[in-house]
Amino acid sequence: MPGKMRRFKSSLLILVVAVAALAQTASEKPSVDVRRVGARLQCQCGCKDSVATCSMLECHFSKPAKERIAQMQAVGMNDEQIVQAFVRDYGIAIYLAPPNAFGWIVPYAVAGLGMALCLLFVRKYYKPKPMADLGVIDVDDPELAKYQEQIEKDTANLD
Amino acid sequence: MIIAITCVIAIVVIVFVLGVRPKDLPEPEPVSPFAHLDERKAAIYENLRDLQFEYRVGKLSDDDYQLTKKDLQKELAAVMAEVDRVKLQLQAGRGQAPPAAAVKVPTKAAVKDSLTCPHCNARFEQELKFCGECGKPMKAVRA
Amino acid sequence: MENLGSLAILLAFCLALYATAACVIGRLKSKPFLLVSGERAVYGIWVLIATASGILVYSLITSDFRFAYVAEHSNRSMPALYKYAAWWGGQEGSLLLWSFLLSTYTSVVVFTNRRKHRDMMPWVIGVLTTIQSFFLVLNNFIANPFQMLAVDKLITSVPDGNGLSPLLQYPAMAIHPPMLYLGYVGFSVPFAFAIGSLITRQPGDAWIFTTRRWTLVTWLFQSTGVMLGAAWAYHVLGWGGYWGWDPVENASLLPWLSGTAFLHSVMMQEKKGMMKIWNIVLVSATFFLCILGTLLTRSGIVQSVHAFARSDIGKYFVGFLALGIAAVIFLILDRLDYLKSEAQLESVISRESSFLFNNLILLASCFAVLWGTLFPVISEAISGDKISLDADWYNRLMVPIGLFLLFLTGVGPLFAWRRTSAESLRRNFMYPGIASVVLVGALIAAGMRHFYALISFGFCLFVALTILIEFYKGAKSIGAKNQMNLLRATIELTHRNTRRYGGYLVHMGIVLAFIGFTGHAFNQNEVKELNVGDSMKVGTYELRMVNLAQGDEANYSWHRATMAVSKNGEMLGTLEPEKRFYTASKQGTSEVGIRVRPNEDLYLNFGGMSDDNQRAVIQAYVFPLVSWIWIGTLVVIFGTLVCLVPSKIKLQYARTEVVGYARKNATVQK
Repeated sequence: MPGKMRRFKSSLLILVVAVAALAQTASEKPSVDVRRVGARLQCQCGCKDSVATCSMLECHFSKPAKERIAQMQAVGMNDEQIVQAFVRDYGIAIYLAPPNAFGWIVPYAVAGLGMALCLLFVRKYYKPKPMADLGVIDVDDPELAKYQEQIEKDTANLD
Repeated sequence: MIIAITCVIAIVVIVFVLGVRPKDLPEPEPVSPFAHLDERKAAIYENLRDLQFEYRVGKLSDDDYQLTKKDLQKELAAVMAEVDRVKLQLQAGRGQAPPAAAVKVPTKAAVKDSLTCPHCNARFEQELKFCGECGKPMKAVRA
Repeated sequence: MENLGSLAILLAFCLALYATAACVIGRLKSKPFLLVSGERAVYGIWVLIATASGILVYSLITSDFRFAYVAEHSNRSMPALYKYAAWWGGQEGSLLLWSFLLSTYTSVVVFTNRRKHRDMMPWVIGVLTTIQSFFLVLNNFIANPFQMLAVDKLITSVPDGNGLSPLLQYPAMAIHPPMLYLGYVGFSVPFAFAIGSLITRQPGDAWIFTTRRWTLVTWLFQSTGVMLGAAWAYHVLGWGGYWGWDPVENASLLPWLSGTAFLHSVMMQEKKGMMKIWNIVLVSATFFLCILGTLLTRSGIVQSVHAFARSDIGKYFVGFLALGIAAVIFLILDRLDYLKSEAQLESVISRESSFLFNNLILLASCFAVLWGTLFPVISEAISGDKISLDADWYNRLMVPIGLFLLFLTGVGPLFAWRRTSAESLRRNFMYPGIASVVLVGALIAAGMRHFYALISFGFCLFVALTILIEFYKGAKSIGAKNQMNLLRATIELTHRNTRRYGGYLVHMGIVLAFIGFTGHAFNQNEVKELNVGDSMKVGTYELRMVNLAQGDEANYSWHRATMAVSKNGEMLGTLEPEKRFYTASKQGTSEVGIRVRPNEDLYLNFGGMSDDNQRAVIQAYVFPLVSWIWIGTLVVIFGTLVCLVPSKIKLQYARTEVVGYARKNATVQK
């Protein structure tokens, strides 16, 4: 009987643990707002991810951090104030800069550079009078005429 | 046990890799010195076909069609000229062998066999569809 | 067993080195025996790696937990399919898969070309076996899959393994990584041929003709792999998206983008003999992006939600990349004269220019994604600032680029090769142009105000119409000539030029996928904690929880909500989102409930239990048009398969005859 009881208790315990694990996944799916702020804070659990992207289950840092962000947002603090609060508590190392202008400029600069290269290419290879230097100008040109018959014959059964 | 298997595998691999017999040498496919020119020619014919089709379905204006067609024909002529040039070069390089074969022909010129070109009377060792000398069809027009 | 596996990969490594040396030396010194021996070594490598893979798979299937790899990535209660899939579930196994696929490809290349391209093949094999050697170094010395669990030098086993990451225990996941890898590895072949052709200065474009199918097949694998990944994210991750611009996702997209650019730009070389340098650059870039992709997935250099592995394997990849890129740059610079363009541009308004643009945009998007992926790393290295780029950043950057690309998809085929007069343009642009303007006007009148969505729908209609008109005009012409009905004529038309019309089908698939992407602008979502009997609203749907259950399975325990879905009072059925908790790996996953309809998906995710453990957190999303992404993908796959069918018409033309050579009629095969 006690054995049965213990088995019952231990299975209950497993169940409770499982339920607890399930329960906290609710906070693993933070709202868009929490994710936005969380992305600017480095998770301190050693994972190198941001608070928003830390994928560790039961993370001792990112989970409470996300809850704290949600609470701060609930009392009406804006993104900057929340980040400031975290920096005050954990030091500047926690701060992740938002994407700066550099991140924007480079892709467009490269696209522009590519555009310039394309234009250069067009300029280099563009021949306004394409046939000028091919040496053959008209159909009755001897070079073409020589092969005209063969060409006509081959093109006749093109399709 | 495991050592034995290991040795066997290693030996099998080495024998397989190193035991190349003369009869294992592959006979390479003959490569024509014109392969790349033929490729080019095929590509231009393909372009011509596409052009003709696009014109027929009305995607092209008349002017575009005529101009591009002429361009393509000229490119084709240029490729054919290059083929002839390479051919001459080859003949020069190989001494007089192919011309000699051609010279023999007139003695049998009257015989219109399948080995002799009906247009230029060049003679070849094997049956060809198109003459290797003048490029015209070897067989009389069937149609 | 384990010794046999280790021996097999070690021997394979020696053989790979031997094959490289044999081919290169045999070629330089003209020793045919050495060349054949090198080719045999290639087959030998395949047999050995296949043996090693077989041993690994066997130990996975039989749950031999003496293997560290098996203990880490498998467990007893996993279904057999996932035990097999555990082959690529971890670092060591997936690198072995890379090696195995590469050796398979190399063997096929060697076999199919055993009598062809004798001049170039030794170099091709040399390049492939060099890549093979690199991966075998990793297999042997860095990430050996045959490491055993041992205590005091005594091999032991554990009673049960950790199990495959539950996120990977999903049917699509059993084929998604091999698909992607088939794509990654496959680009090695065109790359090797390009380098072989460059080294031996082959006249003509033999490498392009030879690898055309390889490239297409590889591209097909890559596209399928990318989209399977998206489908997996949508169905399994439970965050309701199919694409999160995660570094690993980006890694699979990068070679796809440059590979697509390559597929288009080879046409310039085939048709006109232009862009030779560019094509070599593109195929090399694609190959190196594939290696980079493997690096990103495997090294954890860039942090990712699903970075599967974190190790110091990165520096080997970086070294390999640096050496390879340097070698290719040197080769290209050394042989610039050989790569001289044969033709000129006849007109600025022509198909050629549209290809230039297509390449520019594809590569710009490729660079933008690459930049976004590496920027956090670069930035931290340079300024010390840690930066994180979120999906919004990518979306803002990529949406305009994507739309422009969509536009080019429609416009490109309307330009004729060489020159296109205003008259021709007017003919081709008029109807699709008018129709799309009308559509956009109608959508605005209907109250749609989303700028990008309006543009996207307009372009989608434009492109779709141009493609349909292309088919219709061609079919009509053929039908009139051969007395066929329109359907037969369409099939005939496609069969006559499978590459072109297959290509149009692929474009059509892209349009359909874009319709799906555009739906993203109208997503709706709602999160609520519900108890049995409670209800919530999302979009036009009403959801009521009718049951909340929990239970245990061998592998996991679960919570499941049964939600009754109704719309305007009309009952539509029930959905059962589920949350699973895998006991072996202590990870949770979602089994989302989706009501799939062509116009919109209703997507329910069981987020978890509320803090007081009384109510279930239900995340409900409405995703308009999302199904079109999957439909579009299927069309893309179908179109690519059509491209692979040989064209019916093989143009016969006289092959230049050389007396003494066997004569054959050349055929133009497309």
